[in-house]
Amino acid sequence: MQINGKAEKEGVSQKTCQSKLFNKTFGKKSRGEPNLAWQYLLYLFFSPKRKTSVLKRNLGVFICMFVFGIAALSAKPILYAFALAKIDTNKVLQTVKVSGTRYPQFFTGSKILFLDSSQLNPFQQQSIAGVLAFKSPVFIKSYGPGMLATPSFRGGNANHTAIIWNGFNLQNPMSGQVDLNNIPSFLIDNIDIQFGSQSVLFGSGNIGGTVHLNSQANKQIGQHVNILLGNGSFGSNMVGIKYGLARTKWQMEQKIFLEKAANNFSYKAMDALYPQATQATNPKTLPTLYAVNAQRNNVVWVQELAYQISGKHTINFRTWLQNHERNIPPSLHGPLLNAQQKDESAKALFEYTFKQKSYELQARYAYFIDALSFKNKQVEESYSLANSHTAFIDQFYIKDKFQWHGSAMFQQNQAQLRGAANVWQQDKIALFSSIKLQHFDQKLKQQISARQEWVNGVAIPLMPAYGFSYQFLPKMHLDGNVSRNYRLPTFNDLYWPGMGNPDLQAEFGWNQELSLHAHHVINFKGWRGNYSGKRAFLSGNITYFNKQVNNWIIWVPAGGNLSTPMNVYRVWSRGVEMAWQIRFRNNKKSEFVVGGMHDYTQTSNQASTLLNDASLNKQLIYTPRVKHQMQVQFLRGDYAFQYLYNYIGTRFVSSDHSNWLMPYSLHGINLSKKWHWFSKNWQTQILVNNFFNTSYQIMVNQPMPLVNYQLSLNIKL
Amino acid sequence: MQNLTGIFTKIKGLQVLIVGLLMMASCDKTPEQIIAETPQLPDSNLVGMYIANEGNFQWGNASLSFYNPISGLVQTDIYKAHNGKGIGDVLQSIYAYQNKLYLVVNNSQKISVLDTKTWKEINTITGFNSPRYFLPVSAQKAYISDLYENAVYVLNLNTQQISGKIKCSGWTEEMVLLSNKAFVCGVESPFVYVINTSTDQIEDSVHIGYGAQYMRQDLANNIWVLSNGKAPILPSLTKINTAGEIALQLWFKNGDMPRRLEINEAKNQLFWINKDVYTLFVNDTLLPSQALITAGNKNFYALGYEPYNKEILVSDAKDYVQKSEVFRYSLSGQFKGSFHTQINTGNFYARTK
Repeated sequence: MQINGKAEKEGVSQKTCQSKLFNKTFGKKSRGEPNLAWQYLLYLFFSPKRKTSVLKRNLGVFICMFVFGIAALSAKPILYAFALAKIDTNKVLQTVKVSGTRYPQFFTGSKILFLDSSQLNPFQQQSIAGVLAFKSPVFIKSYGPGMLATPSFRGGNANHTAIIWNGFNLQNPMSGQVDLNNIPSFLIDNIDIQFGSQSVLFGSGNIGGTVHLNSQANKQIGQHVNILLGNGSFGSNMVGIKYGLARTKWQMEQKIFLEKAANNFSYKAMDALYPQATQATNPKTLPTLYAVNAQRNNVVWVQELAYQISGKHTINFRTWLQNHERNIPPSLHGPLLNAQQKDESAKALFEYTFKQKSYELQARYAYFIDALSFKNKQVEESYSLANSHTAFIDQFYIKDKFQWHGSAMFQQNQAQLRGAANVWQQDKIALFSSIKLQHFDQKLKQQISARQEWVNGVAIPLMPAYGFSYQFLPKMHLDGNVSRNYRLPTFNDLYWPGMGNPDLQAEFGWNQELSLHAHHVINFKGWRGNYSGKRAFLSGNITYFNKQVNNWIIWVPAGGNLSTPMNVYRVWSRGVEMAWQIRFRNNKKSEFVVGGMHDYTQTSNQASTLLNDASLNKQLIYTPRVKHQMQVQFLRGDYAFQYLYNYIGTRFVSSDHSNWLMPYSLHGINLSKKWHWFSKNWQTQILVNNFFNTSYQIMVNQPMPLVNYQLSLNIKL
Repeated sequence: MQNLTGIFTKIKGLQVLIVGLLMMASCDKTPEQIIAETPQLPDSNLVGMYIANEGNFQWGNASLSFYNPISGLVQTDIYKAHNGKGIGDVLQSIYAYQNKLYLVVNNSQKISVLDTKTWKEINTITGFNSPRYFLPVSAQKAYISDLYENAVYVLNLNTQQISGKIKCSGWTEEMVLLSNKAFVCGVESPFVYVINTSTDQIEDSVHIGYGAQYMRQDLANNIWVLSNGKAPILPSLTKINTAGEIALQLWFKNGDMPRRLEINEAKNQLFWINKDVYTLFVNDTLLPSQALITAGNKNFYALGYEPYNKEILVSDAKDYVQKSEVFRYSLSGQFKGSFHTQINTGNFYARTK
């Protein structure tokens, strides 16, 4: 459903005047847009097009963030000189520890997939949508390159996967979603993908799974500069800069990402919707077309600062400022409407940690603002603004055999549509705690957790969870967990003018899963019977999961051409996930890695409040039953070659299975070379996406690009 | 590589894995991939109902169905079966005129013209912004209302091209022709516009409250207008007499969302959806307090009148992403049966002899 509001007509003249003043002050490009990075940053704050809401309503926070930015930048020479005096070139010293994923000790029984920087490296020019599509079992519902991309995990909706940035949930309180194409992977150091529900720890909205986007902990002492220059097909250019400075007590990093793309990607206008009238036309016989009105411009500035006040006290502070402007190309049968979308966001995080022996206290606070505007030549600009204050107090007691945490969360979410009188507000308080016991020389770990939350003063049912991990053989362990989970309706669900349903119930359900993990090392012997140093490391796991969600919310007709969200379905998801890897190391210089992930997910509607509902017991729409991913990697010296494969099975696009999209396979190749030049580390890399020029659609009538490349140069100073 | 081969042969688990993968692949089955071609209309005098299935916005899955009330046969996806392609994005409305079937395809900005006997497309008229309804006002001319154009298009039926526009304020919707006057709903205005079809000029406007969207003509040539209202103006059902004056105005209560006005072929009984289906005889002066048809757990979406069996057809769009079910009722609200169409059935048009 497309949701557009109407802009205030009264605001036009005022907006025009502000626009002229802005252009006079900061210079004007073709459409009144700033053209330099620093102008973008000012533009984000002072853009006249945003009227006054963002600036006025959040002036204090902006000033704090800006002052911090200036202070951090001006402090660089001083810190640099100070750091140089302290650097011991013979040692690799660790600086203050900056944690990323929250509560990692209390993931007992959950399956975790960790993607480190080396795995993110080929995708540095892309958003995290590209990373997750090829490196995880998350199905990415993408409307095209750079367009809206949302995750679907274990058959869940887009708002069933929580995207957590350094401990805080990025899901927009209006839509409950995160557009993964808004998050450049260059700015993320590593990703933890947590399978299954974790409502006890992370609250509403992670029924399918949780993706933790983290900044790297433990930067080495000294100065770190990383410059990434990228060029790609379809007029894509980007620059990424990371400047880090670390010493014993300080750690500071500035990250800037600038991306501009004409994005006139090539595609075939094939009819992908089945059934077809005759035998399907071979897409290769169709003329190649190029997307129009798909240009993108993305500017992100991230700052991170950590300071160890003493051995016990640490603070850290992060900000994220972003302005992402996109034109939206028409769908295959849709008209060219010159649609434009702008996502602006400002995020600030503050964390304080006190640690003494086994006890740790963390106090965390975050303030997020997300503004979204949309317009095309049929409708006036619509504009929505959401903000949230979130605070956590976490206490940990970590011993070898006993671990405990007790946490409290306070959150206030607000949102408003331009022209609407009401500000939507939601206040949440949650208390949650976990106890973990480790027995038999830590071979058996058990954890019990519970969460009680109040939303606008009303208690929602208790969320309990139990998890275990049992290492029954030296190389095999069994993980399992059971948890109750929930998702609250979004602001759009509850209050959208004329259509929202304030009586909606939260979605509730249970999740159970069992995983078997195994690994094995083979040491090969040489001709003389001695170990040659050649080793193969084998690992794999297989998981069965079972999940029910009651009160599943869908939008249904509400009379005539209006619709409204209702608690309609009872959804049952179950499936098997397999992952395996063989890593063969010939010697110190060469390595061969082959691995895959294979998922079978059955997600069906088991009960409905609708009469004669033909979706009963059928796979939900846009939920592939089968997914396969494989990768083959060969490293030798400074060269690296990687082949990536992704198969997505049939996706039904009608809930009675009368229409569907056929499966597709994608192949990618990545080749990189490192070298040392002027005593610096250089790396060139080429990534070829869709190597076999497959015509495909992930969402119906939203064409995806044919073969394309991305070339990058990475310099580490 | 010999070592690798050794690994593969040694590990029985790998064989299990491969078997597992094959089993997984075999689970990804899809249904029949080709639509069975429906027969051409056997009888040019056949009565029945053309049914427009909107499909989903931007999905390009609009479709055309035909319901034969004598045999009970429903032909689905007729356009795709006979033309080898989909209609486009959001089939808003249908009108049959001069042996041609005009399919107004809203988000594809076009009108697709079919031969009523063969179902073959004979022309595509483009140049619209967001077309909604088609109304022939003479043998040579038709009006097309539009969601975003702030105008009504004038279509030359001989050349099948747009010949002009009549400026209106905002979204224009359903239309009715009465002699040489076309009454046009202005959804984003307080008015029903009255256009002189000889001059293509607005010659009058009737203030009906706010948000006129649906319109029917009764046996006394009164025009009945169903409007949505806009707070604090309530929705209303308004009777405009032949002199262009309001003869009766019935106000709905706060919270009501009346939609989809329809009338029987005797033109003396009106129907609309307000969650349930309500009826009003044209001589009544009060809104009914009781529903004619109770929705229950159905999601009524659109309304039609089938003249052969004298039945009310009400579509249930269910979850918007599955085939609609059309429920048949007698004029007294008695359930007669149901049939399935395609995604989001939004408009019915009676094919008469």
